[in-house]
Amino acid sequence: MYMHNRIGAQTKRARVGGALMALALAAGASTVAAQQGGAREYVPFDDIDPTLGHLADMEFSGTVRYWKDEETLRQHLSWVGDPENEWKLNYKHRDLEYDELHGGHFYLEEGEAAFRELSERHPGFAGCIGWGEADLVGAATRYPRYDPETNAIWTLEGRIEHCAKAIAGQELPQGSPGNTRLSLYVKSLSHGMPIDMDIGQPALRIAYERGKGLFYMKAGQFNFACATCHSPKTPVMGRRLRGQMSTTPFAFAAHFPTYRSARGTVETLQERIGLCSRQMRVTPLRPGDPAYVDLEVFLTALSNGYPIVSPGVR
Amino acid sequence: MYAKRITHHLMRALPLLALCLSAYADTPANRPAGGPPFAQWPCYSYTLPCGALSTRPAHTAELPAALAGDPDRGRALAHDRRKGNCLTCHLMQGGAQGGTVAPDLSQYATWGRSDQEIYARIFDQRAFIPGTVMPPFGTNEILTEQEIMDIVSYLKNSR
Ligand code: HEC
Ligand code: HEC
Repeated sequence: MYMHNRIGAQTKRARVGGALMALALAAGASTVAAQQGGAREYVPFDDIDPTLGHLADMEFSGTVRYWKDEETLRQHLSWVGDPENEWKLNYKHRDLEYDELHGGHFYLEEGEAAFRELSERHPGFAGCIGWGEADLVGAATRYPRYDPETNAIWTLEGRIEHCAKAIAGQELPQGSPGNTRLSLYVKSLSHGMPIDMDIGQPALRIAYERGKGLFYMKAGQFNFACATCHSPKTPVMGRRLRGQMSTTPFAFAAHFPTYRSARGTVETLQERIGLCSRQMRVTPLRPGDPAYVDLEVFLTALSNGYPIVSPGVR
Repeated sequence: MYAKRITHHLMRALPLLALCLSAYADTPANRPAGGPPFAQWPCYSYTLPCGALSTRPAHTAELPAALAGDPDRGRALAHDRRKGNCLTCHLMQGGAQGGTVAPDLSQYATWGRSDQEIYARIFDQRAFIPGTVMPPFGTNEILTEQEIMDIVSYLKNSR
């Protein structure tokens, strides 16, 4: 009943660099191989229009129609706990727990205190995060962003690490609690505001294509791709994996950093990718690794237009 | 620094058992004894050697003539989250909470497949269905030849 995914046979080695390639990628070639060498298997690419943001899911799993806003979501709340239908809510019903006092709110308080302290001692810190603007309301909606001066793509956590070092001489590596706390606080200042990453920006668009290549590439001892579980082309999405259900990758980025109630900790999107990697028995990379940045850009593009929920809980 | 981070990840993988696909969490206990490290399979890195590795090609395995399987051991291996964990995707005899991703194998003995074919499918399903989501248990050394034989015996008794 499902469509078999066929081996993409994309042994072609795409290489970054070259403005021509950049243009080709930006033009939306849907068969971009990942940047690595080596012959790899792929889950067939879904044809996603990245300018549509989370609404591209209409052509994809189609479930966005059930979770696109709070009102619609509430109309379908009876699906929670129903094995046939719950996955269609894309876990968004858990966003409604925002108002409850969950662990993320405590973590947020710590983040706010840490931010106050840091920016009182180093007034330039907020402006560094806000790209010249010290008022950080809405700032998180524009991450990841491209900086032509450094020719680099900055995720929010990467920027916090950079600014702490450059402005305060402080080490706050990505994935450390000190960094994640600040990230959660800055993100919370954009709570309720739609994600607005600039996918029209060529460098971000190229990173998106690279991230997409990684998302569909099989890796690790189990030979799974992210898309093995998160694409409607495979038999996995919407079906039960023992007790678990995987869902569409759209609007994933909106609630990170997320409080994980089962673990009692806050995790960033890239930590989540590292955790999923381990489950796939793929060598995990450090948060901030260029490959993870590309995956974050890809996932954030699929979240564009969806309002941030911070502190999120899952 | 990197080693520290890996330990960190390992520690985190434990409580994650309750979360997504617990089965596939990598803890030392999850690895076949003396099994190869993950760096032998492709990873996402643009710089590490695993980032340049190829996917191991599909392989049609021959049933090792000398081996004989033990169905009880096979059932345990098939249900064990750290081993075959076939239950993640399949319904199987004697297993609770089987997955709904893949065909129901609880009466598989009635399908009329030969030992050779069952063995080869578990060893590497890609040899039959390119692009399958089922992991190549033999080719990627998730299970040994003996372990696959044990599971074949278990399935041959599932009717
Ligand atoms: C074998 C199945 C499988 C594979 C492969 C897989 N995932 Fe997942 N993923 C899941 C399931 C099931 C969940 C939901 C469980 C949960 O929330 O804990 C999930 C959850 C997630 C989440 C969190 C969603 C949220 O709303 O909090 C992210 C982000 C994610 N996956 C990204 C990825 C990426 C990136 C990859 C590849 C590197 C990947 N996944 C590979 C099964 C998988
Ligand atoms: C991630 C999902 C997944 C896991 C884990 C998995 N399988 Fe499968 N298996 C499938 C799918 C899907 C099929 C159907 C063929 C296809 O569509 O690729 C299949 C088919 C089979 C078949 C062939 C049925 C036939 O046509 O004769 C056998 C036998 C089998 N699996 C045994 C196992 C065993 C034994 C294990 C564990 C050691 C296992 N599977 C683990 C997904 C899985």
